[in-house]
Amino acid sequence: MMGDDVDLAKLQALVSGDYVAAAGKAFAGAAQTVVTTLTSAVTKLLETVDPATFAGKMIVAYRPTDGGVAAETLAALSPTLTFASMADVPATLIQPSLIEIAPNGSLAVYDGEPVSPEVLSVGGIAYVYEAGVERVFVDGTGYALSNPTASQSIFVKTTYGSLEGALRKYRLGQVRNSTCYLFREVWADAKRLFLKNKPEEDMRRSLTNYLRNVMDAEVMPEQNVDDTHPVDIKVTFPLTSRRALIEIKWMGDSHTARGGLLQYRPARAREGAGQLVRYLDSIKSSVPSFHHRGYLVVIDARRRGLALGVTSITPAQATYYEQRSITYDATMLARPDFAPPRRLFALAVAP
Amino acid sequence: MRSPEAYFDTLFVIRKLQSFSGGVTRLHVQRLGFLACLLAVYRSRPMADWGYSFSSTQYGTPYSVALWDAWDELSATGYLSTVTTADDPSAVGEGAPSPDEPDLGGVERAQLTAVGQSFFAALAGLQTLAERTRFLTTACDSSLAVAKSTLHSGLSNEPTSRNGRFHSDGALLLSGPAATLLYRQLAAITNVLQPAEDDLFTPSVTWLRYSADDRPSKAAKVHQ
Repeated sequence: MMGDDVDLAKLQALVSGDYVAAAGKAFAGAAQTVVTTLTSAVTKLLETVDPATFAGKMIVAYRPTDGGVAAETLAALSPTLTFASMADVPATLIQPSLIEIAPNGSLAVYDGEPVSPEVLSVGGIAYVYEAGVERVFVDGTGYALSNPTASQSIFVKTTYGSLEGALRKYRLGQVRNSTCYLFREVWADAKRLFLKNKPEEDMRRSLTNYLRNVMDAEVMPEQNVDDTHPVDIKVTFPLTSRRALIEIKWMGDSHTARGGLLQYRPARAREGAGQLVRYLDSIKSSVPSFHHRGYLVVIDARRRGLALGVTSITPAQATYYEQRSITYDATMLARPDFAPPRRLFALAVAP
Repeated sequence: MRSPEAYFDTLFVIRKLQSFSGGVTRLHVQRLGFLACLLAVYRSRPMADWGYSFSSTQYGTPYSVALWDAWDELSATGYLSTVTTADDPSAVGEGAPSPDEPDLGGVERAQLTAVGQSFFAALAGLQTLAERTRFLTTACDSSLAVAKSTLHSGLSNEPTSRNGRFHSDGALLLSGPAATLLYRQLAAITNVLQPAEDDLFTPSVTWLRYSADDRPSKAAKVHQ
């Protein structure tokens, strides 16, 4: 939770590694125009070119003024394609190698990397995508982009209308292989055998952040349903009277602060189901103007053969529980306001 | 017309961003209206001069009735065209949607119609609305520079928004005792960034990133 004062160390670290702050230093009052020209172009481009299919490197560079080493080098080359503006770039464009945006807004596409992003960014700015990593170069220096989204790029603005669809994608795309960098914080070891002490907060943060990226909804963590029992996440959908209450539980082996192991098994998941039912009953009377639906999300990190001190297990032990689902009280499952519980199995690292 | 500012801001944000993702959502207008207002406060403009207010409600935070009503009225009078889009089919994953899933109707996005463009042009000519374009433009440009979750989380963690949710009393945002922390945050950002006098953009993006990361005593981690 945020404190009631400014975290200067965090702020300074953020500024020192941020391309926008660097652009502010390099371009002063013109930084907004320079950065937005680039981000608009990349956002538009990634609406049609899927970064998940990229091979190799893609560079998008913008120079706000004529001249310079990069411009002179490119002027001696023949672009493979040219466009008067970003609006003219067709949806059929296959991943380009280098797109250069000229001061007048026209675009030229080149094969390969005739000029490095370091040089392209002298007097300008350049975006580089390579193997799922995004950087922006300003004045010759590269700045890595922190990507808290569910997609390959922060400039991909996928939106889901369905929470169900979003949760399915979260299971496969973010949890299964711990792809989400926030979800990766739940582990106590690099092999992903054990969970760390109290992993719930990181799990909640991961799912909250994911839903905020992919839903057109108000997504709020730790919402009080009544005075004593906050539900993990509440999702409020605009233009509807519908709300989703998400309760997160985990199963697996967690290191405790005292050096022991806390083991949660299916009983914990069923406890979560009971908890969610109580939330739903409580809020039905306290907020009758909304229709609430409960979603139980169970992070399954169970491995067979774990004990304190174990540092490796066989692949069969690691996946023993992968297909072992949980049974719940039939009356709970029959409730129209209780969505089928979701079990998200998180794989260990393959040996 | 109940709030010309709310009409203008709604039209401005939609017009600025409608070429992306097939249009702009209602929540996005709410969030960028709030961010623009916050930037005006950062530049020492009185909250009362913004023309409408925001509060924390059961419908969400931040929430402006004026912006909500402006969308409805602009849509009803033909200044906006709205389209409801379904999920990106490639993103749904395996299996068919559950038959029990409440039909949320997809995502509604708006664009300006031709008469909407004309109406916007007429409003943009009003001197009383001229100054706010700078704050609105910066808010829109900031949203392009960060992930959606950074915008959502940054605004949700804004001190008066957090306070409003805690008290659930519908108090006005960007004012009151909780605003003191916001002012300290903005002052700290000015001190650390040392932005150019006419640079509103880098403080805006920096504040969003700072506010969005609520992990204690850690900088945001870089995706590997």
